[in-house]
Amino acid sequence: MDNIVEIRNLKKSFGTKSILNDLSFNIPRGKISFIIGRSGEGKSVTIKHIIGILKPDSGEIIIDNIPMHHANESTWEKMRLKIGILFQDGALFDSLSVFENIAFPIINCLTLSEHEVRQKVEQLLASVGLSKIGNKYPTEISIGEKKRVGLARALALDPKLLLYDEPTTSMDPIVADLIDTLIKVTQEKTPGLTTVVISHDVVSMMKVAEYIFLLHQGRVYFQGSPQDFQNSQDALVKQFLNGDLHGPLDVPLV
Amino acid sequence: MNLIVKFIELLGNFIVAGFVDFGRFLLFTIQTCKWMFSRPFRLQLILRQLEFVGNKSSLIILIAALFVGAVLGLQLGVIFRLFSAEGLMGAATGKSLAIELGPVMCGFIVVGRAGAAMAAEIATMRVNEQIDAMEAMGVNPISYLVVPRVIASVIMMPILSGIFLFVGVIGCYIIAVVMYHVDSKTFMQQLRWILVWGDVVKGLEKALFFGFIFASIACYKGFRAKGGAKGVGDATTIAVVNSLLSVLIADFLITLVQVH
Repeated sequence: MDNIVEIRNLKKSFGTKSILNDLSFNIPRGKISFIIGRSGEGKSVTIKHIIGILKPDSGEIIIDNIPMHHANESTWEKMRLKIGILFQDGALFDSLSVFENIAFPIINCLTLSEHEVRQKVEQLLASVGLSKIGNKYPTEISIGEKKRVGLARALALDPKLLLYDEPTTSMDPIVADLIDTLIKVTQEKTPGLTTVVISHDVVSMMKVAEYIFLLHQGRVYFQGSPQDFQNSQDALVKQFLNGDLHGPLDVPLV
Repeated sequence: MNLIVKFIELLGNFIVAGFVDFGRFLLFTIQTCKWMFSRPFRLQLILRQLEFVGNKSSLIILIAALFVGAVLGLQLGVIFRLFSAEGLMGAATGKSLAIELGPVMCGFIVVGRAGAAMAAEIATMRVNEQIDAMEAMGVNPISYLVVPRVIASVIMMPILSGIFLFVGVIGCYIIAVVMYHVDSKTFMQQLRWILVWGDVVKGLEKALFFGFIFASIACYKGFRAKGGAKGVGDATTIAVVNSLLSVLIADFLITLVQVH
């Protein structure tokens, strides 16, 4: 299978706390992959390694066939142009309008005329169904709209790899469904795109995912299709799928 | 015995943490200097920061300078009257404002207004992942956020300090002429005699360094912020305290060099 991201024996600790413990997995190209796991299992740390914001203590990261674990900042800057990311709360710039937020990567990374920038931003806003809010500021729009604007901004540089960090967290089920649909539609409409979603939303995962990685104790505990996940007899996988309080992932009450 | 060991251990950890933080700050400052002379040059952002640091601080600087000059005039007038030397009030006020009080007071005011705002804004961007987002889009956050703020502070601090000196002398002039009945010609003559251009330049040099120091510290502390609202509050407080102390320490060191 052709992989867009290959992670081998990745280790990362913060102080004495080990987060990623010999993590190895390959993200298949052209599919929607979900990386799931309980809070604190290193999902966001993994994604931050893929965009080079965090550097590994040891191990290898290969993106689009280019080894990135020892890459310098200028190699990373070029690589990041191929990667789009939607952060958990959108991470929109408060001081810029919605239009300026989406135009930000275009103006800073591409050489387009003012007219071309305007056209591209309007097209991106229309693609997430928010044509009329370009002049508003992030504080004036809802969390669902923020995420859609964040998605439009993540798509601005036509990335090969699109990462979503917990896209449906703290959303009502209807907006969550809208985001799930957007993830699917964006993947279908964009040729050559690979989508990686970090989540602990099982409902969203079963609707959207084509491949799943379950992280546990800093390693991949399970990987497979949603059907494999659903049919698994493993106690830990079943507990995560059903959201049971008791099981291998015991949560102490006191 | 255990308490003594614990105390030494805590002290050692505190010192090591201090050195580590200072080392990180130096690396951050080197990166800032490197990006100051690297493309892209963000002129529009620099202009926006010049307006924020300079224009928006000017009213408070004007008011503060007027009252500081007036208070100096009042205090010096009481002493100079004993020697019938009220004519020297302007000269003494001008000299002290030019080489010392102007840049330091100005530094304190701009740290409290612009420095705190810089630290809080960057810290908020850090905890809300906006800086991560910027980096993920291939835009260097030091080049985009820090360099314009540092350049604007370095440019505006000497200008604000010069305004502080000018308005402070006017404050003293009003007190000297109205309350101590000093002849305005004598006031100006003595001022020109004692206050030389070299003094003004020394003060402006100090202001320039203060601008670089407080803006670098404020941005660094904002960059290192962690956690939510508390993290932003902590970063802002530490940025202001460290900037104020650094301005005073830098003042001593620059004066030491200037005196020798």
